[in-house]
Amino acid sequence: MMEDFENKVLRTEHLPHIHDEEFEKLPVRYRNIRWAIFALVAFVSLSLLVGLLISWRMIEPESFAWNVFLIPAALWAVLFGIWALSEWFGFDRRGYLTRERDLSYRSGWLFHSLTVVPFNRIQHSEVSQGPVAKRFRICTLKLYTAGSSGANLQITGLDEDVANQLRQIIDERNER
Amino acid sequence: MNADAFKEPKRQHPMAWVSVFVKNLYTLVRSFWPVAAGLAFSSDVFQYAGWVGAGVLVLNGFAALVEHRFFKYHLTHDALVVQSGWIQKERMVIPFDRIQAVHMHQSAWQQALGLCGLKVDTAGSGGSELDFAALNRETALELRALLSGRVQPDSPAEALQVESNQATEVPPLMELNARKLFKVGLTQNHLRNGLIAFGAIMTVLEPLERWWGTWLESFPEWAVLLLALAWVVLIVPALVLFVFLAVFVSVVSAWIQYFRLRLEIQDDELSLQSGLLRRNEFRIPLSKVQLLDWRSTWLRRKLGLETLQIHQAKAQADGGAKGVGLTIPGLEAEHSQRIVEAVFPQWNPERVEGFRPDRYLRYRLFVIALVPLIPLSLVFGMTALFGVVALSWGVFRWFTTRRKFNGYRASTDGHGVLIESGWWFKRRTLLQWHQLQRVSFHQNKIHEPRGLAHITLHSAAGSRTIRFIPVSDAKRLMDYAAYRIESYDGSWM
Repeated sequence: MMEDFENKVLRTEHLPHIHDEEFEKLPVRYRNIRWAIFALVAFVSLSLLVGLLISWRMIEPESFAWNVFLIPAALWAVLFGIWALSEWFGFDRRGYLTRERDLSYRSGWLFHSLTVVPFNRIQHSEVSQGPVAKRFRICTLKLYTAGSSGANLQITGLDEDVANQLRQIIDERNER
Repeated sequence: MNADAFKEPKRQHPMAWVSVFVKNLYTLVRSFWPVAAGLAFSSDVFQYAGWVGAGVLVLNGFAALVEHRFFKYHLTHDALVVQSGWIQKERMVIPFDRIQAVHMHQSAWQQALGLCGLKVDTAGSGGSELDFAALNRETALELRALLSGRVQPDSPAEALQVESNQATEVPPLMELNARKLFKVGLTQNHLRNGLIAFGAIMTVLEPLERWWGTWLESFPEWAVLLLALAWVVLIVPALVLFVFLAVFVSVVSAWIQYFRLRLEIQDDELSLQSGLLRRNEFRIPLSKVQLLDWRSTWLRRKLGLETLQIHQAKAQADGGAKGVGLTIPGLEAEHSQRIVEAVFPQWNPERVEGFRPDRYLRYRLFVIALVPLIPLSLVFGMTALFGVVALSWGVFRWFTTRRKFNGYRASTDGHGVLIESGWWFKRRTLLQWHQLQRVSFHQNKIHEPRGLAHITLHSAAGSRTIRFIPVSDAKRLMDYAAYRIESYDGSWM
């Protein structure tokens, strides 16, 4: 029994790393949905702003002043500019990585984050899908660990089949 | 009592309904007393006040009686089962392995009648999942022994009695005597306590304005005029009075909360007893501790004291939420060391690798500390006086932020990780790698060109972040955390 005992030196540089190029990307149709939501919100908010401006000019032309709208218009441009940049550069940074013992998810361009959830800490998992997501065959995978009342890792925009496969992998790993 | 006695559904002590009655009445009064006080001055409503009060008391008494009658509990071989409710029935099953801790408490009236309250904490709830309002002390001790797993439900009656009676035989790890208790009181947050006391006084005085207003009107005119002219002179005595009130409230509240505090480590449990009016007795299994959190102020450290919070698994998200755990004030370095040796025996502070934040954090802290000068400059303008104030503030904050920056560090020995921060308000957190739930890496567009990142360690008792460390260190820690969690096969909770 003593002969089986091993106590090798463990160096952190030899531990398995997470490499950016190994991450799998989310489907392109999820990118299209995100752009569609962006366009809709931008159009509605801009319409409201322009509508307010026209109404004011029609109702009280004598007190009307263009420059009052400069600040909200500038704010609108900055806000939607940042959002557009985040969508443009951020989508390619979204991705997931399944390894033998954990699932990782990365996201964000301005604020980048990467979370690793080991399979042996997952309490339960959930796949959710709204009516729009169902139409485009995408869904959200939610993973729950101890110490929190909400989902600890949420991967939105996964292909339906991929989400179910991931869930199956998680269940199989937890059963071992 | 035999363990079999707990197998049949049983009620709490009859006096439990008094406890429920008082608790519900207190909740009612706390929620509606400003409305009630306002209505009391309306002559129309005032004449019915007696009837309304009697109605509330009768209804509350009936509700408490119903709650007591329909609350029954019993034990199965692996769970505590509680049935409650009259119209809407509820059945709660709490498996023994989900129970994190069982706490006992005794209010003054319970102490007089030899009764006890019992709180059961589980990992699935933020605070306590179940609260027994009143049990016989003997029943409470036996139930606690069964729920905490020290005695099995099928054990003989003698084992249960021996286990429930073996309290306070172990020499204490620490006790708070009057001198130490006074020190703890002196190092409380006086500003907060003073403001609470001031708020309480104002809340009481406001609805009674009619009475004290009439009293003030009886003052002669010259006295009112003198007070109006001399208000500047009264600022200093008022401040002195506020400080005195704040310190007094702090000392009294520390006395009430931590009176005869006694901390013991017996077998595999940490036991804490304290309290004057309400005597609390907490017991936490050492194996279920997730996180140790020391907090101290500059003054408290000068007196050689720290406050330790011991956290177990909880349901709330990230950090701030109140979870399952206990607080030990007035801890000396030797006591802390003994607790660490008992809770995290593998932690070796002699063999650690340290991680320090980048100097960028220091400049960031300094810039943030200068922000209050912006509104001040708008109010006072760029005058010479403002220049002197701004320069003095800048010099002062330059040194204090340097101290604060020096307080940020993390270190690990491979088994545990110690995260430290702050200077005036210092915080140290110790947790074990294998108990973590997940790990996150964060970076924004300002950190990226500087090669910096944060790493957040999520435990079942809350999350802690190691901030502004080099990306290479952050990734190394993340890989190590994943390795330790995934290679650990034992129980982590």
